[in-house]
Amino acid sequence: MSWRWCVAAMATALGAAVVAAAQQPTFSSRLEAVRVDALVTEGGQPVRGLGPGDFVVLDNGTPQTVDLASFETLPVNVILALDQSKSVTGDRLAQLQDAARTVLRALAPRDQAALVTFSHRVTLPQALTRDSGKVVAAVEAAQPGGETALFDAVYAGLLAGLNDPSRNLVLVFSDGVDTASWLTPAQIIETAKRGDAVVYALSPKDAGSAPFLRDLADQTGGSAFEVDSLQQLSSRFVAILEEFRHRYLLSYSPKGVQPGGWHKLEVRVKNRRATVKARPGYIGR
Amino acid sequence: MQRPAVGRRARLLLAVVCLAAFAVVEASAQTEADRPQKYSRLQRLEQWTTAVERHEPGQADAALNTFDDWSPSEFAEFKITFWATLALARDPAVRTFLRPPLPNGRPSTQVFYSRGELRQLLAVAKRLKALGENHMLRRGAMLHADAVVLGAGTDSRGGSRRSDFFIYKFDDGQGLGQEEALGQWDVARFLLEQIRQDPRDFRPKPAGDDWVRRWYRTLIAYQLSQMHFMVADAERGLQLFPSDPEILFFEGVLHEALASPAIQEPLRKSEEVRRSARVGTAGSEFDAAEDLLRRVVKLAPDFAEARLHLGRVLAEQGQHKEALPELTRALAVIKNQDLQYFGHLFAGRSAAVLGQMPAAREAFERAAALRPAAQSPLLALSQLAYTRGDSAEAAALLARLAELPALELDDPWWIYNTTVGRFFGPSHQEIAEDLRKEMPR
Repeated sequence: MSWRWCVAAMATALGAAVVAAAQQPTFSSRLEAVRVDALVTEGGQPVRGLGPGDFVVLDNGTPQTVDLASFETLPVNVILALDQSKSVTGDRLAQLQDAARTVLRALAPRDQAALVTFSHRVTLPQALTRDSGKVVAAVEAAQPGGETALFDAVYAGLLAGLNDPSRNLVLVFSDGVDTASWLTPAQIIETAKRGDAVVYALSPKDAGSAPFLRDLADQTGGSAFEVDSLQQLSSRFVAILEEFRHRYLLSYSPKGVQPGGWHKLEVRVKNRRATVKARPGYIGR
Repeated sequence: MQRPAVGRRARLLLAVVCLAAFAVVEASAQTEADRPQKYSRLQRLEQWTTAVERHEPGQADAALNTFDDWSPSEFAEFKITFWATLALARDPAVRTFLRPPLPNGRPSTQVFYSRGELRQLLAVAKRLKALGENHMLRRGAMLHADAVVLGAGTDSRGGSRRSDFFIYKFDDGQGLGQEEALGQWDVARFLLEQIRQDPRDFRPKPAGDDWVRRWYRTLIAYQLSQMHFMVADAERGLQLFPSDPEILFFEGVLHEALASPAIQEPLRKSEEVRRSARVGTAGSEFDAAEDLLRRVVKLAPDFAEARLHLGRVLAEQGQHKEALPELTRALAVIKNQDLQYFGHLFAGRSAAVLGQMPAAREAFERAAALRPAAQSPLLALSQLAYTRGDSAEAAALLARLAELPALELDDPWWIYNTTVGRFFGPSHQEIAEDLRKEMPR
């Protein structure tokens, strides 16, 4: 699930993006809106064709009126945050680069991608662009080496699509534990709760970073996977992109709740036994 | 102290982290005694004595190559032979020889030498006595330290066959396996344990020797400079000098380093290594660091760098309210730019946790001003801006980070745990110089 307190300019931009889509929905003209990114499944399959009226959204227990439920309409920003520390070499590096290339090839022309790489250094070699070739080139140019600043890099990834109205998917891969970050896991989780990006994370089985990545993914409504073999990375990356496309983006103007602090969110689908995966809440301003 | 160059930083950061486990040295020696040995125990003693006589303390000379082909069992055997030789140096009439006392308290057993061996032992004992007993013991310890520090650079050799006497290596938070430990440090410590303050008193008293104190200071600084930890050796320094602010400081920083994820993560997967290397959990290591650093600032209230580390350790334990005054006091005195940088970063974090946002921002900005090419202050400022709802500034600070070419990023934070290692070089030179002054010319 994702959210964003939007200023008027942002709402305008969102409206413009949505106009281009087939569903032709309109966002609330209210100055502030909350966006909630939700995966709805039944029997393990995504449920299609739901409208705003099909959803129940409780913000701190208060029912909200959903203005919009878009599905496969908004473009996607894929932000790759890839571990390039010295443990990612040889076959591991080749498989990671291959997975990145594969998911970048699967993007639609209107989608964008960005790259964050990290050893102890966090680098942002490619900002959001529709030219996926540039991102591929940046992935291939990365030189592994050094320690691991996973938390610092995830922070940069969470903010990489900050001012873009599209939906932000942060795809994180790390094979080890953080040994070099300044920022703490708690700060990253708080940042995620304030932002609207959805995090999907991959790590090898029993990697030290797995608990943090699980927590981060849970707090953003995404998922974390531990893979037995890095040969699975390409198929996992593509499956994640596919799943992300099949999520609903709900929007509502909060009513009857205080703006600041932690807002617990509950999202359900009316009259169906569907499973909804969404973030458990957000920090309002 | 001169700030290390960027290249030096990178080398330190990329250095493999090592933990030495010396839990059951004698068991290892017994088992490996079955291996065929190229030289007899008396030949090894002769080689060692010649090396001590020829080695110029603190210099990378040929004497350091003496141990190139010594096995761990030969180092262990050497201690037994040396023990007998020392007994003869003190009393040439002695004919009953025991093994050195075992660390586990088990009774020592007798060692026998043939008449020919006894003659050789007596000859060597005479040579050692001529050097002066304590001076000879210190030079022996220095020889082994120099053999590691200036020679091979490690006290281990690849291809470990045993798991009870080893150097455990890891890098980037992941285990790289283990290597056979040789025992150079173990022998050095053994030699220093024999130092006496009064020739009429047969009981050794290394705790009364200032050179030994400085040797342990040097040893711990070396460990921190290399991220190569021998906790048992460092602990012995603390046992001998429990009220020395320098030893307490180095020991406290060592425990702080042992709490880092780079050390803790590989140990998460190997409790056996954790036990034998004598490393606690992150929480218990921070507790130990806090206790030691508190003792330092009580003994030496003006020890600003100890206050800096104490502040950081308190903050890591969530005691930000206590941390901030320590950091403020340290920053008022510290002149070294790297230490100032750390102080501002730590103070910024504690202030932010305590809700003192303007103070946090100011602290992070000072850190950024000190090190414009460091990523940590930019990330800290960006996160602070984002938390207060200023997304534009948060993004702008990240953009500043993005504009820095990767290779120009240079953040002292990455080598925080090794910073105290800068004392190793001067300390090493100081104890070497002291020995050189005592050598006959």
